[in-house]
Amino acid sequence: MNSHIPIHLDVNGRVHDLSLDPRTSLLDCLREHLGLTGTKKGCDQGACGACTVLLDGDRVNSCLTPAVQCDGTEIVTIEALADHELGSQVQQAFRTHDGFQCGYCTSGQICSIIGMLAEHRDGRPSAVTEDLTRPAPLTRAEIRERMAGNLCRCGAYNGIVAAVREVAGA
Amino acid sequence: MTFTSRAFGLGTKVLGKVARLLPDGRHDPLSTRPGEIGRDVNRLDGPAKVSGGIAYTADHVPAGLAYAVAVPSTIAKGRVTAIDTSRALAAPGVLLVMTHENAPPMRPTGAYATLRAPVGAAAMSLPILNTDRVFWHGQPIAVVVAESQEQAEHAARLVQARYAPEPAVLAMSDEAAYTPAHSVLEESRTVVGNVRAGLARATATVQAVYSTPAEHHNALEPHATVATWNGDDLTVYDTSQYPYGVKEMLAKKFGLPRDRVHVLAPYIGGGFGGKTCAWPHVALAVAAAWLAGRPVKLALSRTQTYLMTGGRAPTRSRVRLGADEQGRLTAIVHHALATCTADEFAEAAIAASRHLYACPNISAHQKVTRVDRIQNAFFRGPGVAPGSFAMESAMDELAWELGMDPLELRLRNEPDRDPVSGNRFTSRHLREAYLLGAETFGWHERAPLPRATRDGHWLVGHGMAAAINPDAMLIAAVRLRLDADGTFTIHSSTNELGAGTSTAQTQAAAQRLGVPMGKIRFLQGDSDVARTRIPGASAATTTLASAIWNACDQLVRELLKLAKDTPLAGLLPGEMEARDEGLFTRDGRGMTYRQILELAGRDHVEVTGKSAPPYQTLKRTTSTYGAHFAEVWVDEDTGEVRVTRWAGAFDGGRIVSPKQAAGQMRGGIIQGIGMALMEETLLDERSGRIVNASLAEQHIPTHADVPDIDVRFVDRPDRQTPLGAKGIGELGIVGVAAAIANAVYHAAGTRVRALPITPDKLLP
Repeated sequence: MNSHIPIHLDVNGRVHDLSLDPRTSLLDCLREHLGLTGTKKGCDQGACGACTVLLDGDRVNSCLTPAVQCDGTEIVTIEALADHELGSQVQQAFRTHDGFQCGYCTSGQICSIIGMLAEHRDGRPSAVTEDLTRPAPLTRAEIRERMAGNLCRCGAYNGIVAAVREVAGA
Repeated sequence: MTFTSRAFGLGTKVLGKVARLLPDGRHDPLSTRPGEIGRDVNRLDGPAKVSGGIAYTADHVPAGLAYAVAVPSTIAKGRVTAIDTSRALAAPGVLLVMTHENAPPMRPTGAYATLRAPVGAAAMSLPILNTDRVFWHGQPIAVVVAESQEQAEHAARLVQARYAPEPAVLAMSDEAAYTPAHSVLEESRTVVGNVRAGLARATATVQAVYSTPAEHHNALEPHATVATWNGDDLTVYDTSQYPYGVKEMLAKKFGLPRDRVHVLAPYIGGGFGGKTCAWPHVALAVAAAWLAGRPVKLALSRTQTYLMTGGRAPTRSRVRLGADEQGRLTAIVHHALATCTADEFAEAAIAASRHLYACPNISAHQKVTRVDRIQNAFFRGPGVAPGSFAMESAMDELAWELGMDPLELRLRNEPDRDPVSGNRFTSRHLREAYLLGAETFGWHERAPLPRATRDGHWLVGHGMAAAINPDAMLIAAVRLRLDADGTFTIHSSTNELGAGTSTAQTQAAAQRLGVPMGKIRFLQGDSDVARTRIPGASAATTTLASAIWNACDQLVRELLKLAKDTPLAGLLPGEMEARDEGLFTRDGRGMTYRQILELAGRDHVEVTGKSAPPYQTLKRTTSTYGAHFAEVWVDEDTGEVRVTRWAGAFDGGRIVSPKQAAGQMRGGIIQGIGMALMEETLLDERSGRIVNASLAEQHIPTHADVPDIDVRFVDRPDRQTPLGAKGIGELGIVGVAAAIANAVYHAAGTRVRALPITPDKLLP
């Protein structure tokens, strides 16, 4: 039980050499080992999205991702998004449209939006996309469906959707 | 009726008579003046919140931190006869296992929610881990402390307990029901006039039973405590809505002077009442840190938030209404039942029925049944949210019985005075809210009959309901500091739950002091600042504004004392206006704050301000009001309900920070959508086990469940309150479930009287 596994983890452009308990999730690795506490633990079972980070550009629930599995990947967390063109736009739009209240889900929402917009740019459909033969316009219904994995208990959903529409030019 | 409930009722009547002699609330000149108050501003904590820069409780990692995990009981009632910790202790990284056999003594305290002795934040008086008794399923029976979270979680599963189980009471039943002493400070039984006579002369009557399930707050941030002992000095980061109360509780439990206990909780990841009281894990984290001799973090898992913190009690309401042919109510009968535990906390489901409508004959009676469960909790609109589902559904049924528009029925029953006490209101603009909401929604276009509108297999319906929430002002004190550079710092023991308290108070203080918002810093969440009791009750805005108002008055007095040899010499506080970053007379004589301090040779001035006693809330009835208008689509084939459109209009007095106030209302409405359609904590009444203790199995609204929500405010100042404001944090959820149930009836012709309105209840 005590055997640790060595990994190289690239987080926000910085490589960390770590020796980790194989049970350590990427979330706990970021928070407890690297001091990157901007990523939050809401349920630890992939149901709330508060822990969403970008792994090689894809949005993932870091609570369901074993850290040792991320050896050699590039992780981007909320802490790096101010220096990221789209990330800083989303952050500003969240402020303008009041896309948060307590702020606990916000890091996950913002990372999820970056990943979601990339999926949309790649032409990936969602469950509400009606015409699969062409890119779906980013309507409110599309945004709501694509963001349904990120819960916000304070209920800032209207503001988040407005922020996405502003950034996406929808 | 119990002796205590009779005594409370009598006391209320006596107090009501005496209260008429009390003064009204001090009129605040700021309440009608334009300025920072009422302006749309972005949240001041926004830059930190959008960049992951806020440190919530569990984000703190003090040097030498150890990790604690609580072990839940697997029976509902009985005794722990043996607890084997040997395997856990032998697991890698484990530092200790704390059980009832080795936990340090923690003195019992009163339970906050009983409101009998509102001292300390303790959720329960029960002696957790200082006894072998088990009081509910999921109660902590051990705490494992290890070097890492993974090691602690693993070892927690290795702790084995043997029990002597005893029969537990888990179901809410009429047989064991009794009348509690009070229902969140409302009398539990009210009789006005004669409801029998009122029903006899009614031309239309309705009668039905409505029920609401147990629910949990599901704040996205799970409860957590980080405790550090430094000798006899204790510092605790805690996910608390009530830092001062946690300080009091821990001081009492561990026999410490209050000034040795420091509780810090500046930012909370949502509370909704679930963090008003300190649940047992808070003291257990502190005890574990004592045993470990190291800082300890105890963060509840999501599942444990259902086991080790309380939720909304289930309710059942029998409602009977009568009205004459003009739709004027002749009788309101609302008899409600809820559960409580050893510490009696009764949800006041009857609140809406006592205060919403003019009616000469009212019988409102709240009863409770004790169950062997964790204490039920305050939850946004405690009592009034589930109770209004019953009352506002019944009003809709009465409207159909009368053949009258439900909006018109409500307008015809709008009272001039409180229907129970006969008191005047501090302010009441519900009529304006009804009309504003109806216009915003386009209510007049509603089809006159149920099942009249369809779009393919979707049935479309419109429903409305009223909202009401008793308004409270509580107790607060703040420290206000002026520095030589002309900037101000406000220190408060309250915290930021997400409601926007710090931003709204900065707006108000900027206008009060006559400085730009950028000159004010609002520091919060430190229990040591001052005795402050605002654990909830939508009371932060007005109570803090009162304390800051008082602090500003003190500051002006202090500054005039300092300004002896200046143009301000000899002037009285009443002659001064705070504007243009200083104090000036109406004819323009004056000085800036910087000049005053510079001439006096002072680097700062600090004063303490205390909130005024809220006599006006005893003398008069004070509530916030609103009206919800909903459109739903019901899938005729599957029974699925989609909320597609919403308009809500609210009377919350003067709105201090409209952007955030609208967010508060939307948040309440969205939680109400959850309450109406999906939220339910399922209890196995044989074992006491919660069946759906996870966010995967317990659904709350997602992005895809929520339409655009149009929020409007009447925005009329209350002449009795600081800033002319009233507390609106809870108002939004009240009435939402009824508006949806009423819209579902209009869409599909099916009346659902048991929440949540899941598809099975709509299938033929």
